Amino acid sequence: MKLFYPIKLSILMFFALCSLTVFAQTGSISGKIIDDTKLPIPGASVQVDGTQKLTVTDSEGNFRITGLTSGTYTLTAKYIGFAALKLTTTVGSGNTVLNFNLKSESQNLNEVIVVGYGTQTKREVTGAISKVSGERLTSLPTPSFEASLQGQAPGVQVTQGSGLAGSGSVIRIRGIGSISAGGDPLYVVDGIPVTSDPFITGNRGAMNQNPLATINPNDIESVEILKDAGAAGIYGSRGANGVILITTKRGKTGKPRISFSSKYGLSTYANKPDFVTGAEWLQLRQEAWTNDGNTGLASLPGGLTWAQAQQNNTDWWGILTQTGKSNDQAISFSQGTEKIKSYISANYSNNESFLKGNSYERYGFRTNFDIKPTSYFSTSINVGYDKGINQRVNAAWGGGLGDAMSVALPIYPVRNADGTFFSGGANPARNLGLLDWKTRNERLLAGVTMELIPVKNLSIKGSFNMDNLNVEDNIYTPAALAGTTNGSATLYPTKIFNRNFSGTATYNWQLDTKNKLKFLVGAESQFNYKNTYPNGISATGANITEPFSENKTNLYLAMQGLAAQNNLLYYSGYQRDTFASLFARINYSYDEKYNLEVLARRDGSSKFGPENKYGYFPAASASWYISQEDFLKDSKVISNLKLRASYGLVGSSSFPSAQYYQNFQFSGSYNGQPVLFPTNVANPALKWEEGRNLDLGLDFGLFKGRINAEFSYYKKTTNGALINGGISPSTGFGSGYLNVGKILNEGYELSLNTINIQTDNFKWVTRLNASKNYNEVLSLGGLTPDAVGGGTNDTRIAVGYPIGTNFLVRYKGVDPADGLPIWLDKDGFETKTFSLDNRVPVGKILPDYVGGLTNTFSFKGFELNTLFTFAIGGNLYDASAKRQLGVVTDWNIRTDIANRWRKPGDNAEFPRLTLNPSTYAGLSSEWQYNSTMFLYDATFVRLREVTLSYNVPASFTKRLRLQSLKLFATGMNLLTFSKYPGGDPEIARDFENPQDRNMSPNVTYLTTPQQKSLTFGLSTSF
Amino acid sequence: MKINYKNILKSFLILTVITAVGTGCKKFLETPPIESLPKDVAIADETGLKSVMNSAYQIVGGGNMFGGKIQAINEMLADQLNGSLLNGDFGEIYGRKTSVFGEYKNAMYTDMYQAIFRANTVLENLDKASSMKDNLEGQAKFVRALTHFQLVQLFAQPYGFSTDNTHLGVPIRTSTTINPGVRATVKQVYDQIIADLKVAEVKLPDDNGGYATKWAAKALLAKVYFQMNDFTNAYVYSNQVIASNKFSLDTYASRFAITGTKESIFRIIYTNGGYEPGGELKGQFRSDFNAPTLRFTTDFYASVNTPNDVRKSLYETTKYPGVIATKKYNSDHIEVPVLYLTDMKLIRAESAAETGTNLPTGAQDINDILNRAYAGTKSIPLASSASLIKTNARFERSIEFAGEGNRISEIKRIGAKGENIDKRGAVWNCPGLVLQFPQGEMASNTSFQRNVEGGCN
Repeated sequence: MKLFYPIKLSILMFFALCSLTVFAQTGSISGKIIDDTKLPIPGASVQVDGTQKLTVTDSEGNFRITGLTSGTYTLTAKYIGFAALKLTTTVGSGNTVLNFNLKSESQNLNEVIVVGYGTQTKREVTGAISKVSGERLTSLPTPSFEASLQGQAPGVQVTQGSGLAGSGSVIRIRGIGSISAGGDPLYVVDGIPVTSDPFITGNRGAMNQNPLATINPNDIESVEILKDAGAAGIYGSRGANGVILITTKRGKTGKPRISFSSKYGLSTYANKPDFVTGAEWLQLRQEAWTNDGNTGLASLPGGLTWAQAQQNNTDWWGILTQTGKSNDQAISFSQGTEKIKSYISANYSNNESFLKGNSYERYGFRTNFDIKPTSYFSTSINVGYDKGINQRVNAAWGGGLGDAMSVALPIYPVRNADGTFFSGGANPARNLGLLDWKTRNERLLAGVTMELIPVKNLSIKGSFNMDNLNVEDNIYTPAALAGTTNGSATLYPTKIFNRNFSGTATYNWQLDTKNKLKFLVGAESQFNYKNTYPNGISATGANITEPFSENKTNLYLAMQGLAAQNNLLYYSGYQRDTFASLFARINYSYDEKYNLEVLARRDGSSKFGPENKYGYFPAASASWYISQEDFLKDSKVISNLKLRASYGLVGSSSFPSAQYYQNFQFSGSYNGQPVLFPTNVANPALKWEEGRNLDLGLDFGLFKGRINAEFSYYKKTTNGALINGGISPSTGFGSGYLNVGKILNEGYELSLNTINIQTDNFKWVTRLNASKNYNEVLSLGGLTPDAVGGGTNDTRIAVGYPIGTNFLVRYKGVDPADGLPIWLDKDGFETKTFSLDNRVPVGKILPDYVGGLTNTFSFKGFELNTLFTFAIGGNLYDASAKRQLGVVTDWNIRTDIANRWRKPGDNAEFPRLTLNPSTYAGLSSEWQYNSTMFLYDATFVRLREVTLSYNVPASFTKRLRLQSLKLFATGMNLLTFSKYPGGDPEIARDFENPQDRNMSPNVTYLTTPQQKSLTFGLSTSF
Repeated sequence: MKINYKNILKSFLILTVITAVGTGCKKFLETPPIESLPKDVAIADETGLKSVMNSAYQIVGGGNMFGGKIQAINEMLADQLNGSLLNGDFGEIYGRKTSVFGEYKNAMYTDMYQAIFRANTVLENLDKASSMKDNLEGQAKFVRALTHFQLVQLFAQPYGFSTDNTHLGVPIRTSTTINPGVRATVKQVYDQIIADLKVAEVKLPDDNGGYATKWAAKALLAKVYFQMNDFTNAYVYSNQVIASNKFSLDTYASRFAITGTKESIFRIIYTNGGYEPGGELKGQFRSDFNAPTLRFTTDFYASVNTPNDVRKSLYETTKYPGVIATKKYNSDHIEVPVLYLTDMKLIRAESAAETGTNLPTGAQDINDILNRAYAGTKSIPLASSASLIKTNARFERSIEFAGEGNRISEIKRIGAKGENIDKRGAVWNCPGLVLQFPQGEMASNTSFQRNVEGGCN
């Protein structure tokens, strides 16, 4: 294999270049490194300039360098977050003492920022990048790490999935430029673009399986979010939605250190819609019955008599929920010498959500090694393994809590008088203990990177990575639950393989003291595929009494049975796609004042049609440190001022493979014979979506960094946005991919960090980030708004309006005379006839502003941290309310119905009750009752996090032989402020496909609410 | 600066290797997913073509067609169900006021046209066939005709609505070209259906291992002509099918049994572990575990609940108080007969009565049905009048096919002859008895003419 060649070469070089040098020992330097507050800094590096002599301070901040011949030396002490300090001393025989007092560097210009295929210092960065440190991701017990990004970075909108264990979030970076293709950012873990597609194993049970939930947040060192073409452009055809770089922890130079953290939490739902009781429900139904001109008692659903119904007032919500419990244990070991650094960790967590029977259990291990045997060669090996077991429950349209909000009526009993389960209507209690549904995710993320430095300043890197994800969805439905004679079991096994291979060469060329150039060229290839049984393996029969995972014999029998009927479908190479890329980047800096970066990438992909096989993505960016200019250098007010700009092309390729040609697939059988069916409408010109991105930014620091701010303006125009629609259904296809959309995203971002108070004992820091995004669909290639719909018809795309426009009939109010609804027609005239032709764009699901406000107060060892997150503007459409507040059917009714018309003269919010949709003229069914009656202001503010922590003083921890000990308590979502009466205002519903994710966040349909939780824990290291 | 050129050379060598692995071969970018076969691979030969043909049957027998939706929607539009508790899409269909939305019906529409697309794919690639060429052509045309026939009945006013039948029907699709849909006239649609079936009738064999046969084509022709009130042709074709003597009346219990019914001329086949027909039928009608969604009126049950009618045992009336449900589909596994002898006999009898010829044959057909229905206790004289034969044929039909989606065709067919028989009191040609087209047609072709909505009761 070709891969072995570089390995062999590296090993040869490793032996060839090994050599030993012995110095005569004559003198030494020792000292202590302390910070502003005179506390020692452990782990700081000290290097003798012009030599390879380097050491690191111990836990007391002490260092010692030996083997120095007499003479004068300059030593540099460095530590992250502090300005490097050079001191000169003369060494004779014996020891010389040299102490360093490092000043914390408020601007932090030397902070290392991870960028695509390398790192840069903050000073060198020309693109728009937000960095979030790993510790910010572990403070909240979110279902998956990406949800913790909420409110942490400007321009990043995070809508957390529901409180279901393991659920995913919708993340949008600088708006949304995709309609039918995925709008999610590219996730890259330690250089591996990882599998993150929530629909990777299909869409089952009203909750999408989130592959990111397997990633252990405790292992994350930092997350960098690449936002503009200058930063994300290096990812070419996959950078348009932004890139989230996840860097895992690595061994740090210094003594071995073991860290341990332990957390326990309790959770419940953050919000609950209020429903009427059984008696009230009956009364409302009777009122509707009477309004409709009927006499006597109203007919009842569920086959119940009035007498039976009146006996019940079942609290389905209460039956299905519980106090959730979570625990999270993590231990890690870190060690580092010049030659070997290692980080080893293990973790276990179990999150039992507030839904009975729902949990996500995860455990994982990670080892990251960095080996540097010589100055010419180094290698790093990362292996991370995680296993997640998701105990699933039905939700939303799938039942469960969704039933409790819809068709499980309070008048229904759980059990009949004879003790059997009530089966006349919905009975979600029957599922509890009967449905056995587990999804197991196993993920192996591993990579080897080798670096050669054949000559000074030239680095050649080869990196081979794998990301294996094994998802097994195991469902067992007993006969009693399915309403059949026999039980049934189904297994959906999917193995997802993701291979990534990259090679880069970097050359640093320092022309003189002022002119610096850095060249990067690279090649990358990626190969994705699945091994799967796309139709699953299922069986029903008298022998099926447990899930397949518990009975392999049944599984093999089922497979044999299916195979005998030509019906066992297995693929190795399912949905595979490939990417092959070449890229280059040149950075030029002059006098640390002017930085210029030019990059280009060429991407080819098996997804692209023959007419557009390769895409080219150039980008340029530049920055100017105005504060380094002479006229500002000595300013007392302005300590930092940086202007940056970028422009470039980026693409998005989140669409399925095999769409450009007419393809046929096998699917099951008919009459015992195989079936091959056409799956799509061919489009040979199919290609990526192309964004033209402009970014302008200003960073400034005032008063020696007491105030730090970053302000950005961006304008992204997406051309050729994919629309999966616009095809006449009488062709036999509902949709087909067309590159026809043009979308604008324009906005501003602000991040402001201030140190409000800083005394010896007390510090108050505020961090605010806010962003405004304006989104508009500029063109749809002539298609009408109904060509694509999101969220099963709740939102639309219309030219001149943002993506996810609420396209509804306008509701004027109730006619006090007869209690019937008054609508506005297309032209704004009142009408009492409802018509879908009167739908107009009236709202949008995208907020105007999103952001977060963090305040941190520290007093001695205590720290109080609060985070408010907010979304201002935009609309929330309650697609379940049309059933909960509309025509009286077999659905639960919300208490808001109190404000309804009852008699002539009533001025009310809701029309007269009826059992018959035709009472409201023109209404064909209660499902089509889509109007502004259920459109709400989506603005909300929530207290996302409150953490109180206490760092036990060193004097005390020492006695426990601990380096540090921190105790903390965290509250999540304790408060929510919103005008929406129907439950939780933060909505990422049970999406059906990527188009839904783009178009229908903020459209709720029986969506499970978020969790509210309290967590207690400690973290320590020794 | 000292440069070691040898090392640089080596390094570039490595980079070249990396590049070669990654991007060197163009083939790397032409690796289609293993499951997605390009057309030339999928339909390389007759085997591939047969598999594509099979995919059309998968839809015909699937939930969107005879697996249940065709029956369920037709029953809801008709007058034998008690839909007072129906809501949502079902309420809309039962209320005879469908709109451009309604996923239940819209998904059915698209999938039916997908069956046609698949049949057209077969027809456009017949050059790949060898010994099965005629057979496949016949099957594809049978499926295309069967599907167009269901579509035109559901989405357009019936044959006879206008004197020359130039009123709008549904789009006719006879090729796989992807272009906007345009509605043809009802006459054009029926002409296309008949033309397809006349080819199928000739090209299909007597027996076809479960697939459509020449008898299936003839039986469908009988149904199509009957629906057009063309009794001469309806008689001819139903008579040919009956006279073939390949089919015989069977018990009610065996009609949907997976062991097959001797009556079946064309049915959706159950294959253990392979194909499960009738999922949607069971889902909406099955009554042995839960009260079903679709329930019958007391009026209808009264027509079955006569002393000697054995068919009343096909109804569940006690398990769920106030609910009348059918037991026809009460089994974990069923087969669905699409064309069967009972229908042919009733068509022949009524056609005989309408044309006034071969009346004794018609009377005998009625007696065959009565004999089974009333356990030998009821019959009509062989010399019965045309009108008595017709009355009996219509009455028995209304019971025999209850829950099988036949009644609405009768309301419209008889309506077109000038007689309103809808028990819910609507006029046979009121707009709401026709389903509305999916919004997708109008979204992709702004000049697509949709149906008038509502206005039935």
